[in-house]
This record gives sequence, C-alpha cells and structure tokens, in this order.
Amino acid sequence: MIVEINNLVKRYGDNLAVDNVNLAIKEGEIFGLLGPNGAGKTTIINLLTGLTRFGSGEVKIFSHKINGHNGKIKKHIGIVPQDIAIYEDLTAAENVTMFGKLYGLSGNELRERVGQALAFTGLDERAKEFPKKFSGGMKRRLNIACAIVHQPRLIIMDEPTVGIDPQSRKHILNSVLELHEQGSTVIYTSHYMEEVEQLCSQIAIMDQGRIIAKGTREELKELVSSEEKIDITLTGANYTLVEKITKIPEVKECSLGEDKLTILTAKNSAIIGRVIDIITATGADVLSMEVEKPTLESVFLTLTGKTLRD
Amino acid sequence: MKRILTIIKYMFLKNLRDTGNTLLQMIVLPIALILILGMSLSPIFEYRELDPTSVGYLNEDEGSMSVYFDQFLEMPEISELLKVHQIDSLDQGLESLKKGELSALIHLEADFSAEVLSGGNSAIHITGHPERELRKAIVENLVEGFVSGANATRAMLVMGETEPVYAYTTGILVDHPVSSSGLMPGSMDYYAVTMLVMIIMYGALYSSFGMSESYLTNVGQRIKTTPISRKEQYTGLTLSSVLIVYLQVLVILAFTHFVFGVNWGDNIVMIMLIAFVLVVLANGLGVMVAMVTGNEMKSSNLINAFVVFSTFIAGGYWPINLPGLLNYIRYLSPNYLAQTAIFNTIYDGPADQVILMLAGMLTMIIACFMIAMIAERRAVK
Repeated sequence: MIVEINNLVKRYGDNLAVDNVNLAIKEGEIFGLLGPNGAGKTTIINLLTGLTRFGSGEVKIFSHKINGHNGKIKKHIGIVPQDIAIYEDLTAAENVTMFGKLYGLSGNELRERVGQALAFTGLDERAKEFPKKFSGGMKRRLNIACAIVHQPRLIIMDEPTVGIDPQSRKHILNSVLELHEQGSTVIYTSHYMEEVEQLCSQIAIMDQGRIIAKGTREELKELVSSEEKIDITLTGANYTLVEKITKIPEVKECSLGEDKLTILTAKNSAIIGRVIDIITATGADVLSMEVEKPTLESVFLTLTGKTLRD
Repeated sequence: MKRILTIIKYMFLKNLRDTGNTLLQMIVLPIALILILGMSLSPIFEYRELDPTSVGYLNEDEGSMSVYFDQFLEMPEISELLKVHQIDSLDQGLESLKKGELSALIHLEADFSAEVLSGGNSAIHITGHPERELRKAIVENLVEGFVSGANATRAMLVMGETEPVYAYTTGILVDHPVSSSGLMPGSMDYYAVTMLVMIIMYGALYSSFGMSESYLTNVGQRIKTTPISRKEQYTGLTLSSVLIVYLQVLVILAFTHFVFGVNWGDNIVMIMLIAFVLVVLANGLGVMVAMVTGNEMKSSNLINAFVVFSTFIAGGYWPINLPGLLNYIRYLSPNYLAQTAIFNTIYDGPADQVILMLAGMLTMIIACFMIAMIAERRAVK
C-alpha cells in the first residue's frame, strides 16, 4: 500500500471534520475521493500532507508513519491544491523552477524536468509569460506543472478542475490518465461524479467526515441497484408487444408510451436479444435504445438521501 | 540552506516585480518628503544670533573677589552676550525686572569677598524674568564660569596659599560651530534621518505581506507541502524582505548624500549598521503582526497606524517635546531609538547613547520574533 489511513479523527472544536476514516490506496491506482463540498476531502488531503495535525489515528505513506516534518516523504509527493497556488509575478517557468528546487532538483536535471512539466501541461510555449496574463484553465495547468516537476510517486489532486473551461478540463483529465500510465499513483478528489467515474479505479464516497462507501465503480453501483431500465424508441408498436415482453421472466414491468417502450428488469438479466426478437416479430421498428444503469450520483443519493451538489 | 536561498531568490525577484510601483514609491516618497519638508520647514532649524541679554548688576561688596567679578563682566566674550546695567538698589533692579527692562538681575552682597576668602557661605544671587527662562539660563551659565574660579581660589586658600590669584575659566565660551555641516542638523539633514527611519518602518509591510502570501495562505501552504521545513521557509521569507528594504536604504542614503548634500557624518558604517538593525526590527514587527492577526488587511492597517504614531512621537514629522511621563513613551518607538542613535553618530553624541538605543532595538527584535513564533505555533491547527 502506498497510503494507509487507520482510524483517523480530526476535530475543529465541536465539529468532527474527519470521523474515524480508514483507507488503503495501492501503488499505481487512481483513487477517487468523492463527496460534496464540506465532506472532509480537503481535510484528509491536509492531514496527508502534514498541513493539519490529526487528533488520533495513524497515517502511513510509503510505509512511513506521518509525524513532524516528513521531508523525505514529501520529496516523493506532488500536491495540486484546490485553490490555485502560484506566484503571478514569477513567469510560468520560474514558478515551476522554484518548486523544482524546493523538491531538491538542480542543474540540468532541473532544467529538463521543468521543460517536461511545462510541455506536459501544454504551457511550454508560454514558459516566459507571467500567469497574470493566463486564463483560469492555464493557471490550473500551471498549478499541476508545479506539482509534477519532480516526477513524484504520489500525486494528490484536490478538485483540480473547479471553475475552468471544458477544453482545459479535458486537458487536465487526460493529464491525470497519462500520469497514471507513467506509473504515478493519483489521489483525486472531486464533487463531480462523472470525473471520478471516468478516471478512478477505486473510489471512496465521503459525507460529513465519514467514508460511507468504497470500492470499484461497479462495486459501488452494486450497493444500490437491483434493477435496470431499458428505454426503446420505436415505430409501429402495439399492445401485443407489451404483453409478450411482460411474459419474459426477468421483466418486472413494461409500459408503452406514444413511441417509447420502457422495460424494468432485474440487474444484468441479459434480455435485450429476446426483446429485439419480439419487437421484430410484431412488425415494429427500433429507432434507438438506451440501457439506464445506476450512476455514482444515484449511489450517493441512495446512501445519503441528498445529491452531490446539495 | 539551498532551500532558504531558493526562497530568498524568488521572493526577492517577486518583490522587485510585484512591487515595481511600490518599490519606486518606497524610494521616491522619502526622497520627495525629505526635499519638501527640508525646504519648507527650514526656518525651524535655522540658527539665529541672540541679542545680548540685558542684566541688572548690583555690587554691594568692596572686596577683591567682586573686583574680579567686575573684570569678568567686562571681558569681551561676556559683553558680547550680556549687556550689563549698573543699578543702585535691589528694589530698583526688581522693579526694572518686573517692567521687562531687564531679563535678569545679578546681586553681590556686601560680604561676598569676605565670605569667599574665609570659606564661608557665599553666593551670587541671580533673579530671572519669569517669562525669559532662556535668558536666565544664559546668565547662569556665564556666571558659572566665574564661580568655578572662585571655588578654585577657595581651594588654594584651604591648601595654604596666602595670596591666591583668581583665574576664571573661559572654557564655557568655546565657540562651537553651529551649522548644517557642523554639529547641528539643518532641516534637510534632520528630515533625511527621520524620513529614512520612517520608510524603513514602512518596510514592515513587506514582511507582513510576504508572510501572509507566502506562509499563511495558498502558496505558503503549498510550499509547506514541499520538503522545506517551516523554519527554512520562515527564515527565507524574512531575509528576502530584509534584503529588499535594505536595498532601498542604501539607495536613499546615497541619493540624499550625493544629490541633496545631506550630512551623514563620518561614520557611515555605523549609520548603515543602525539602519540594518532597524530594517530587521521593522521586518520582525511585520512578521509578528501578520502571525498574530493572520489577516493581510488587518496587518496592513495596524502597521500603517503604528508607523504614523511611532514617527510622530519620535518627532519624525517635526521636532516635538513631550511633557513629563509622556516623554518616556518615546522609548517604545523604534523610530525614536533609531533616530537618536543616528543623530548621536552623525553629531558626535555620546557613544553610550548609541549603544543604549541599539540595545533597545535588539530587545524589540527578539520580542517581535518570539511573539511571532508563538502565534505561528498556535495557528497550526
């Protein structure tokens, strides 16, 4: 395990910000921490990076317990903070160089890594420009470049796509996948479930300081769903069709609208082939078909009774 | 060490750029103020020749000592300063004093010489006009010279000399050059010191802003996640602020000396040392305020208010005299400590005053950084 968190507790006065959290993150994973604002994601990141002292529990990174300064551990971690943390009065290259030096790089190695980090984030042609001239998305990318200049084993990204344009967002998401392919372990926090769903192999869902569920995407969806809904748009349908489909044992419910057939079945029942055969046999034509499966949003809704953006 | 140098380098670079206008203001503002205040308030600092002081003189003694005193009053050095009017009676003298015709009255009693020579209690009585303290002080100081001679005569008698020759001192009349290039500052010299000190104190804003931005908030927090220790980060930030403020000091010192002809004295190394200690103190103050308030705006407001107050009570805007106990408040003003040390260095004041003021500033530096460290530890949640 690259990160182990055991029984972690953090209080701010009467507020229990992190409530007995246990997590284990394997090397090479993209681990998603999903939860609404105020769920405790950033507090966990701050505890991992030593910015905040924890009340009780244990945190191990690279099998070393976190306590005190942890300089040797920090050398192999890159942090992309939620708020953009760069100097507007240093050029893009100077920002990345400064962080490279703080991570212990020097000489040719430093120059090479700075070039690579800027190229990776698509800022190599703007290296000598000041970030105050950059768009929000470019600043976010520079924020990432500063975190990866030393090619860390563990990259922690705290909501890196907040408030940016779709193009920069796409660039950042692709960057995360690329970093993962290069062998880095990534901890990715977000309240955008589609990002976590797209990127992360392991996901922990947080709410009110607690981990309320964790596992792979599929495992999480398993938690909440025993049904699938199939929507078929068609022409030439009649009520005989509904009768025949309802007779399929796995079908729980079937209804026909103006030009839409809705079927509710047991999960993973694999009835689509049989349904298509029936439709064809009755002389109707299928225009489109959609199988609606549970999302992480619906998982969160089921587990907490509220949406991620509440 | 490498990481400290990294912080110093990039913060210095950032300060040079970020505060391009501020930096210029921090240099141009004091120079402009020195010029404006120095020129417009120059009459306050001008040396004015005093007219001779009108003194009534009643000598009822006929002995040798009063003869010496008569001769003393007729000395050219004395008659330049005192215009002596012989009077016939004490009542007449007091009446003239009351009318303002005289500034002081000197009275030798009939047994003056006898008392001096016999070792008894003798005195030269001086009565001053109640509203002319300065004039009375001049008379007292001059008569003091004669009294020193009289005391010496008495001492010789005690030691067995039968016919002591009275010799009065003229040491008190040594002519000290009084000019802007000599032992007294002209207005430009005065404001060069006070404005330099004031602008160094405003340097507290650099460290306060630096700490807020690069230690307490976003980028500062991010830097803390790198392998740099908090001590290294803290030291680097403070030193970079010290460096930028001290650079301004050197520019102002050179400019005022070579362009305005300001007198910085013969011991420029000591002036630079005092300025350096004050720069460190100002930065310590900025760091302390930033750590205690944890808020950039509050820090900035507090520092601005403190610098105005500190400059005022130190006489930085114009020379002031504070009455009684209020005068001691000045010792809480870093401006006052630094100004006193600098003026004493330039104008050959007592060295122990300079050392005392430096010691005061060093104590304040230690206090500021200790409070800052305690506040910082409390801030880590």
